Amino acid sequence: MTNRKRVYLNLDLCCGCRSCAAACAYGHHLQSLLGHAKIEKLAELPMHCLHCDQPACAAACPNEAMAKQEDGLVLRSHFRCVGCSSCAIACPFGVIQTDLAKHIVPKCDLCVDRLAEGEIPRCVSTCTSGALTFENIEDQVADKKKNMVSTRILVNMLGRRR
Amino acid sequence: MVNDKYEIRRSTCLFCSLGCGLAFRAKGESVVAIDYDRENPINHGALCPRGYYNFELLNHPQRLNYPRIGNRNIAWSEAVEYAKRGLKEFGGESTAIAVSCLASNEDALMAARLANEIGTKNIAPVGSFADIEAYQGMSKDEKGLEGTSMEEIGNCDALLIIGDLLTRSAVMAQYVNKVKYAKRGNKIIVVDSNSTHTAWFATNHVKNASGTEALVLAGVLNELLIKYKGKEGAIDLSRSGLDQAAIRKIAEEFDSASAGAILFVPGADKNRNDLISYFISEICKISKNKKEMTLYEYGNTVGVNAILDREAPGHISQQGLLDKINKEEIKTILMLGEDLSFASPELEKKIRLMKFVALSSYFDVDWADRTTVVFPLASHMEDGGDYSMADGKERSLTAIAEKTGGKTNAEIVAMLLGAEIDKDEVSHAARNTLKTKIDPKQEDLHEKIKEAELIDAKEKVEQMNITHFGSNNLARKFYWFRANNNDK
Repeated sequence: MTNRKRVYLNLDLCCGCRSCAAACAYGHHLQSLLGHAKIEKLAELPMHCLHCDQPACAAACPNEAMAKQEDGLVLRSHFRCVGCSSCAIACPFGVIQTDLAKHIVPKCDLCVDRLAEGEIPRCVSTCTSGALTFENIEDQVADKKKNMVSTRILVNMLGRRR
Repeated sequence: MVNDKYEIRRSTCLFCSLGCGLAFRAKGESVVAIDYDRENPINHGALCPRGYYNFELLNHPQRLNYPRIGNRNIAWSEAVEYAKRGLKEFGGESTAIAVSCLASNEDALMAARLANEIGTKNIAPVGSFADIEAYQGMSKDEKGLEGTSMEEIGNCDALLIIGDLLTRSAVMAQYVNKVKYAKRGNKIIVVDSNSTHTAWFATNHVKNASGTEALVLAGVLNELLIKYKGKEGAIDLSRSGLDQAAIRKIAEEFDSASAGAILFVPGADKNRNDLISYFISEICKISKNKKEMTLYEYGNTVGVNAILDREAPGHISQQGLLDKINKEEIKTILMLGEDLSFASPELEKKIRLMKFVALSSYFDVDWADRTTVVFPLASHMEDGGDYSMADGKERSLTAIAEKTGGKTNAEIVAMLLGAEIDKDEVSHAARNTLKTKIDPKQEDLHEKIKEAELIDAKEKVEQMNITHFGSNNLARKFYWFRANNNDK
């Protein structure tokens, strides 16, 4: 059965406290798998892997470490990854960050251990402002309109600074 | 990770006064992993990065398990005998006791009893300077120790936030969001000299000159006095960096809301936290349906201060203690749960020169050669206790893990008093103590407003050396997330 639920960020609510990164670190041997985008000191936003249908990172991986699973998640094998960071360059969304931990590229696994228990990912459980939600992809697309306000503000402010 | 059967145990975070719920997965007697307490009415499972370190405290490799003299492990009986002799050697007046504001109400009560037994008034609550200053300014009448609930804050129409709320207590973000998006026209007014994360969320960010928060609030209070009591009180706002019109706008926006709350984050970058706290309570008295909440950096600032006020009347403040140490009037000190030496490098030298230093600590202190005795301290998750939180409610914690070898401050003090501790009696006495009232001071509002005008913010702002998260020593020991991102 394919997993159609993904982590969704509401820009209006995110307060940039990095609790999601801390939760991620505690779940993954003190290495956060979650990248953060810094927008000119205005905001710090978590960047989640979208688990694409046709993942560019998997296509770029020279060692077949990155692969799309049957349930729809794109996961990285601990044993095959050599830390060449080809996936980070290939990713069109920039969610894979190149800081290596033990010669392995950090990559969001959507907390598969918690999904197996029927729970939601750690970052969503701990979000202090309710910005992160775990929803079906279809619902997310319908909800995109809500994001427009803060996106417009961010773009305006960035434009003014430059 | 945890695929076998586990059991969920719940506790409370004490790194700030909000008191978020913690949940842990436990197998047998040991706690294995952190979980999320989604049913908790305060945080609904959310935790800020600092909250996670409570988990680390349980199984930290550097935790102390035995009492120590220098670098030598010793038996409890030996350590207690040694400490008893040391505390009584120099007489009452030269002995001081410092009680950390992370300690429980019982700990504070036992410490006050020890001070009365020794015959000293040199007992001080120790925490963040700003916190204790803010507590002193709080109005201590019937509503003094009562706060408001989180739900009430979420249902407000206007919030007046003084300080960087979302960095200190990130969990409040859900309530700020709730107010902001509940209906059109709701106001989030942030008074802060910096463009912080909280200011980003504001509908009206009032950017004052740094250190002039007390003056801004005096201006707001002045507007309300003119409106409701017809008293004219000229106030010079030129130092605040704001004009009269901006202040009038804040006062009107906040006063016209049908329900509102003032959230105050005491901090080292604010001058006269006591005046700010006083003005906040006065504004809440004059304006209708307004609540106040102070978010202290240390979990039990309210409880420890209130108990010391009642049980050891005339006790000194943290600043008074430091002054006395600098004058070398104090030769013996017992520090319960807080290492004083973070205050300044000079003080660290003074502590080295002291005749006798006893300390209770979670960790092996890095200046162990300077202390005489170090007692291992049990975490609040290993032994329960009563704590007073920012919402004015008491949280009674139950133990969720086995003790690693430490004892609570109350137990250590009981051993120093030479008696066995009766936990029920102590917690009962602490609760009764908190219920007794202290007569509030009658103060002239206009004189206080004049006092705010006279604050010279410049000098202090130049001197201060502020870390992003203030001086909560225990949290700072762990905190590395922000430490790696110092660019703010």
